[in-house]
Amino acid sequence: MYFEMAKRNLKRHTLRSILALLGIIIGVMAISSLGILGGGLKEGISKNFEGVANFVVVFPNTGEGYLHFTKRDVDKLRKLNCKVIPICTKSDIVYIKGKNKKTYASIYGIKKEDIKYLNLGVDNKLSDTTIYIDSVFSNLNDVNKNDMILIKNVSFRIRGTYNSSFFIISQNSIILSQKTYKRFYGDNYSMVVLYVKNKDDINNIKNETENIMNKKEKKVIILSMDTLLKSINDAMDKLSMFLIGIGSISLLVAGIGIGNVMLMSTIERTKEIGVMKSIGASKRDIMILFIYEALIIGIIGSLIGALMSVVIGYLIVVFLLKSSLAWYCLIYVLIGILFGVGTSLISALYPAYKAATLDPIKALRSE
Amino acid sequence: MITLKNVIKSYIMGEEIIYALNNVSLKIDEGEFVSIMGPSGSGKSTLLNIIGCLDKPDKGEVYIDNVKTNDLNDNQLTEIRRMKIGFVFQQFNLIPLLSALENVELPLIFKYRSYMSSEDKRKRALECLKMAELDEKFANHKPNQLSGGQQQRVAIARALANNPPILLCDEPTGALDSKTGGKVMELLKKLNKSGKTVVVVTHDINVGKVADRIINIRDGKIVEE
Ligand SMILES: Nc1ncnc2c1ncn2[C@@H]1O[C@H](COP(=O)(O)OP(=O)(O)O)[C@@H](O)[C@H]1O
Ligand SMILES: [Mg+2]
Repeated sequence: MYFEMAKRNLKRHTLRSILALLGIIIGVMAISSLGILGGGLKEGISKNFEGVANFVVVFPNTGEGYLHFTKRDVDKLRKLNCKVIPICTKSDIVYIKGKNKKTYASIYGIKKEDIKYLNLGVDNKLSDTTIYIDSVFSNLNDVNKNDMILIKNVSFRIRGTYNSSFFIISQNSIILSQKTYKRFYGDNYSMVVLYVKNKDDINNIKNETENIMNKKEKKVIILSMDTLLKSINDAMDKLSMFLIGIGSISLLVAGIGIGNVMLMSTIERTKEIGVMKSIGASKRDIMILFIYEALIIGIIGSLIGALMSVVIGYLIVVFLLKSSLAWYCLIYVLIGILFGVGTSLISALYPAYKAATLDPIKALRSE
Repeated sequence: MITLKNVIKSYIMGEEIIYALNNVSLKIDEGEFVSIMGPSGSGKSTLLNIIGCLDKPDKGEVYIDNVKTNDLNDNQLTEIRRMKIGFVFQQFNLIPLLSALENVELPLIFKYRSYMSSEDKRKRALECLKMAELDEKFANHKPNQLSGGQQQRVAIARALANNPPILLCDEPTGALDSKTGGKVMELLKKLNKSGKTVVVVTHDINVGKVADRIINIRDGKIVEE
């Protein structure tokens, strides 16, 4: 009956109730879809980094005049308890056969057996007469698998395409076997990638590298992707919180709206409250009645808002961010619902309390 | 059943103090039909509200069924209202959103919550409508679909719902024509005969004389019995 009365009271002022409802819907939608947006951004970005989280990359410190690593440097690093992948690189002009076209590209020399550690998504069966190209090179020059490319007048068949990986292999690039590379450009290494199987060991490996290479002077720069990844994740979490914060403001406004509706309702129903008290309603009964009204608005509004934000969030993430909607994004929907119901409850407390503590005599005397 | 000893209730209006009740003492026995008469503003409603535990006196003692109500807290007063008191008002004061039947069920809900089944509540409410002599066919009408007399009968049924021993009526005929009012008084008389202690506040002598005893009040003081 409380519920029934609350329902009828809300129906008594349909427009007013709908406006309050709309406030909550918009608030919940703002919180959850902004949360989903933040979550989606994070998801998309971390996905790009996922493949490189196990790497420590060692560069020569060009600021100190070290432009390359020598074979000796690489051998020193081999003492480390991890997979050591020396990489050579140089820019050069290549010739695209059949198109009669010259173009620049970054050329990488990587040992055939090392390629599989780099997660490039290629078949890892490079030979000395084949190459891999990245998707940018492929698009720019309109070449594909099995097309022929001339490097230093030697012809190579394209064996596959990869997406350039962050920090290690740049865009518009070609990968040769290291043996071939050395034949053309000599053996100077421009970076060493350390593949660390267990991410927990990354810090150790970094320290040891520091010990081995930088003892006398700062010969190398050591970068690891996990710290980068972590700071990006942190930044993304902060962004999500910020977005939710913006959403909360709209919910706050909605809460004030509900509070206002309830307060108007108490004032209008002063007499009714007095009557109910005279026929045996306790403070608690009156509170419950008002809180039910707010809860009805809160729950219905939150559910509609949540539903809409799932749809909107999905559209944003899938079509705008071109990433997939992760299940954990539903957390933001839950947060939205929680905040929505909570807001309506809190904003009803004061009006409900005011109604409950009305002096029944004054209430009965009022018209 | 009802005893007031030296009850004082005053209001401060700007500079001066208005005594709504000035040293009122009275005693109403179980099964009595008493009317409290006096001109408008003489303190009748205040007196009735203090008896009905809606209001507290500034000074003096109030006993309902030998329980001193002065010192009771809010919840205890609510409990007394639920157990002992049925209120009837001049303006009927039905809840407009609820049907006649639902209005009568409301005190049952406040008192019993879910300890009484909905069917039992419905049954009891119908019984009360019958006692108040309202035809069952009006049970599902909303208050605004009923005449004044019918509404007052619903209000009386509502006052009867929790089977209180005391009915307190504040100008129950004040909003009715004299014929309908007379019928309402007849009903109250019947309820009194069936054992209820009835107190009716009125300024209409034709209404007042239905009672067994008339208490006259003027400027917050009882002038004669
Ligand atoms: N809340 C209040 N504030 C100020 N004065 C009041 C209040 N309630 C009652 N009074 C005053 O107390 C007196 C008695 O009022 P009331 O009991 O309603 O009289 P009656 O019912 O006989 O007309 C009146 O003068 C009235 O103005
Ligand atoms: Mg009065």
